Amino acid sequence: MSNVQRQDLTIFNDQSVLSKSLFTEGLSHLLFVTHRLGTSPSWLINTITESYIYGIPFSLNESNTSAVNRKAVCTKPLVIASFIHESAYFTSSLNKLKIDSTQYRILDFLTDFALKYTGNPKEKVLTELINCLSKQSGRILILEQPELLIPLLNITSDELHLNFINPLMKMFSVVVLVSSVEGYENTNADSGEYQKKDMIDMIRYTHSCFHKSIVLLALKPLDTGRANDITGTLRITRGGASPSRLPVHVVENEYLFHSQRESTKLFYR
Amino acid sequence: MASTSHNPKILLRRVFSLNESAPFILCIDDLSQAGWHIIEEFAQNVSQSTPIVYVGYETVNKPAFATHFIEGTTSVERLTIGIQSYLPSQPTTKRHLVVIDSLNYIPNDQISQFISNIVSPSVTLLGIYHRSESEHRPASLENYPSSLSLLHFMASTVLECAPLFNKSVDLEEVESEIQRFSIPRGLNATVSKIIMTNRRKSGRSLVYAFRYNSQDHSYDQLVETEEDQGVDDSQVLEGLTTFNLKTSNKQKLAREQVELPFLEAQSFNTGGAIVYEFEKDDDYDEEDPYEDPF
Repeated sequence: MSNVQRQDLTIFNDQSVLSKSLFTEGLSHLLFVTHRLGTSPSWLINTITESYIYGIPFSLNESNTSAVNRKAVCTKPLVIASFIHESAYFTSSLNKLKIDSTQYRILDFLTDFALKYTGNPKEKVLTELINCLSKQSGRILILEQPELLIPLLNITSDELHLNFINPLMKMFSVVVLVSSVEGYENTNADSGEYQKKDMIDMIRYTHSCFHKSIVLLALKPLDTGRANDITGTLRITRGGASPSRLPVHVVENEYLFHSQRESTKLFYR
Repeated sequence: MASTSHNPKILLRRVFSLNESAPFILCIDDLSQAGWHIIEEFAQNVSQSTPIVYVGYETVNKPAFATHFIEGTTSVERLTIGIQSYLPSQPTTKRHLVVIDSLNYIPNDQISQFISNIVSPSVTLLGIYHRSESEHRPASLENYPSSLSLLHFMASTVLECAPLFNKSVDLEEVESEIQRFSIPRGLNATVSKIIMTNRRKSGRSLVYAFRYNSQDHSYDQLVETEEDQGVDDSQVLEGLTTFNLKTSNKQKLAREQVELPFLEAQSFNTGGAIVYEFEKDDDYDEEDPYEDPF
């Protein structure tokens, strides 16, 4: 792939990754990132973080790497909350990208989650998590794998959406949900195939996320197997939410990406 | 001459503008084509004075067209009370529209009760249902119909959203991608297909398919051509073997003209009769009533 030209990531038709029009007062939008085994979304989380803080993803888009003047354009901090990674995982990668640490907050919902919340009623746990996030007074939230709350708290997907994700959407202008779709498939509901409760909840969770989202960013490995110069594909498609309140629209595209030690490159497919 | 309601385009427009008698309109969508544009088409077509109550399970943004916005909740009783507070207690001539952005959140065992509590002669309920979303079925209701079956049964008009594909698209591949939660590009587009099933008062169902453009709000009826209905034998057999399995036009004509055996015997139009012919040796007595062979 060395001879192939690198491409810049754009999601919206104003040539942006995070369009300014997403941050209209009183409106909330959801971006849904799905990933599978072998295609970690950490580089995409970094890209979204950079795009929000500086307006441009310096580390990913080749045309912007020459820009020396890195000035934060955001007024409120970005919040990253994860149920599968501790704070150090994000701080180390964001520090490598030289992102101003005052512009983001990281909440670790992984460490000692069971110790902190065992025995508490599920409603109380969800309220505490929401309060914890609301204290950050951020404008954009990147929430990694909240679906883990379904088995952790023994709640249904509907409860998770209505009592956790919807309240968060009211608090933040943009919510980026990052979820794994490995291990279960969207089995047709009419097929009559027996499905376990856990499986139904995971399918319902992903469905609801899709119908709430304005854009779907799907990371997956190559169908043909492994390659030395390609890690996987990023497919950008429209979500199931109405875009009528947005002056911009999603540019559907598919990229090949190659993640090396500390950098990721995009190529057109 | 057919009445105006039998013109499919006019019928669809009447459904969108709530001029057709339809207390419950079901909109079925899935991951390949979301149904939000159907809701917006209703909002575009109903009269300005029609109050629209929007129940948002999948959005927290109050749509611009909504008069009242209710957040979705896990308690169906609370939701019913919330909706009813915006609806007239007595039937009125003014129509009200209640929109629910996903009926999938209403539990299977409460859905019929919920719908019957909302609909009335002056209230139309428009509900979206995501077709491929699995639902929880309690063990005690193992033989109870699915929510989709119940909704299909109760709805007076069903609008199914589907993407419009080119002939070159491999539908099996698209389905397999969606099954893996990988949505192919080009879906959820502004141009899509609507299949409308409208139930008349007589019980007869009218089914029409439309090509719908949500940008310019136009809809044209899709009529299946002969090519869509059946593929010619010659196309199926082409390249299948090294033998010639095709039939030429001359051979087809000859085949049609062959008279099958016993075809004459199967014709019963002539009827049967006993024909008696008198012979010279026959002993015929005119006075004997039992002798009459006729």
